[in-house]
Amino acid sequence: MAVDFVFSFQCPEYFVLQVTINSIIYASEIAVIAVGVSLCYSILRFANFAHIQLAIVGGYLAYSFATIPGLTLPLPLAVFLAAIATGLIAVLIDIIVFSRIRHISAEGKMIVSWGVALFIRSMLAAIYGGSAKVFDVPTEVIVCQGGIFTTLDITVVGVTLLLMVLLHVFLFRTRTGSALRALASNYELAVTRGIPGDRLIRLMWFLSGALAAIGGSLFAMQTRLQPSLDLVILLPVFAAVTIGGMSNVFGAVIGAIVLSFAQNFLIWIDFGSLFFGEPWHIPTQLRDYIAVLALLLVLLLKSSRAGGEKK
Amino acid sequence: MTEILSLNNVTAGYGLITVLNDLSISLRSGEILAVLGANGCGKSTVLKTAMGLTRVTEGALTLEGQQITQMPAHERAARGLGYVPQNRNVFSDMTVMDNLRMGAFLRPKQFARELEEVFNLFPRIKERRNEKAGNLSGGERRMLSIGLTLLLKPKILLLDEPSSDLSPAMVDRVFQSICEIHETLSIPILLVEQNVNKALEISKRVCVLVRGRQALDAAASDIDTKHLHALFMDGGVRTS
Repeated sequence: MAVDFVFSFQCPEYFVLQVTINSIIYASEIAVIAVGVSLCYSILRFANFAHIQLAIVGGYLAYSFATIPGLTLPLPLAVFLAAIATGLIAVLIDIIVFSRIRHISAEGKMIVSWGVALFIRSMLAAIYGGSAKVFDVPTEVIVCQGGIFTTLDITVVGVTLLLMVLLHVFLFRTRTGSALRALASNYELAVTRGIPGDRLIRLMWFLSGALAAIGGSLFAMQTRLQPSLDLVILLPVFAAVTIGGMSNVFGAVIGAIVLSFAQNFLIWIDFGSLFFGEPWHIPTQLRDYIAVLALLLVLLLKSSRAGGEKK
Repeated sequence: MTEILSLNNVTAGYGLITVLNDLSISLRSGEILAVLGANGCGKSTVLKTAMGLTRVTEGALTLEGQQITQMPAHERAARGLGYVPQNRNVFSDMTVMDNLRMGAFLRPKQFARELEEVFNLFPRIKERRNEKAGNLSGGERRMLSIGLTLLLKPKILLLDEPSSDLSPAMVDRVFQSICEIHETLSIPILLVEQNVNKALEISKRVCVLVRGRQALDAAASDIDTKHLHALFMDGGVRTS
């Protein structure tokens, strides 16, 4: 494996393959969480920062279900139960907080969501402590055509694909899913067609909470679980959602793919040799800054286009 | 004729803004009641209030004798109120067929049969059924909007300025369709309209609003257009 890894560094075509593989895996991790943010935004028109905390809650619940003595459920079942529990927590948060502030501005709701996020973060730190937890996931390294990945990576990509297909079928092939799209398209018109807006908003919260939990669990399995994991997830998720168009649920998936490829390829490209003759790469620690840059670029482009339309 | 929908001494608006002041209007079975008035007098708010989309601070609304003042909009739709908004009257990013399916959200089993009735009434909509509703022209959108409201099988139609932003030819077609719906389905219609002549042509009774209050309630045939224009122009409250 080590030989292959070195080989892949030396041969650009293998490195391109490896960067592509890494990008697909990272995009999958982001996409599941980003889709939930978009789902919420498409109907309620505000960026819910507490969504990231729900992903962390889901990760912790899955960890608890899988490790608490006497419970120790198989990991897939633990993640499934965590998804349901987190979905219900999201509904509860709506009942206690967001349903009471439906009438206020999007900015107001966004600030409240920050408050909810901080509350959840403190609760998690109080319950689980600040130390990192590691999922005990049996995984094997696979080397294929010079590309290196693990069985866990395959699971992450597979679960993401499956969830996206299921979500697509639900939204586009079922009556309830179509009603959710109608609410997202035109809330006032939808409720005057007899679509129960409040009930479906609760369903949306459940779905986005469940997706966040699965995404958070997958992310935690690939890294480590700790309350500060939200800082690692927040930026790429919101960058992906912004790139894809805030209210476009599957645009968030595209956004995750674009962002992931941009981050990985920009780090891979030897800018030094290209421009100065000496090798120089963007340090990997600046990966998140690429997300910030992408976010800024998209916002600037959108605002300039909006300005042009206004003129 | 029995009163089917009544707003009794209703004060309503949006947030802290009051638009309707102590307004009483009732729609009787079998009639078209036109609500007329200058821009900003609260015509559209009458329909939105009937549909449960505004904040009612005083007064009461009844539908077929039953209180609906606190009822949410989706339940009013289920009780038979069919609302056709002036703007944003279709689901723009959904196809025409998906729009119509949403029109039949409360009656999915009857959808296939009743869809044909809508297509017979609006053949143009049938031709464009696989298009995104956002790509339709203003007139086509208006037809689709009326069509998806008819799929609710409403007992009452609330039409908000069906002629706005349409070409004269399209206005004629839309009003012709409204008359057909009224005659063939015997649905009473509460019509808010800027086009006074068209409204007077098809309605039986007229109610004029001035600054959210009722200034006139009379049979359409008794309306003196000069008097009507005076009400529109000076905004003064007069009775006929």
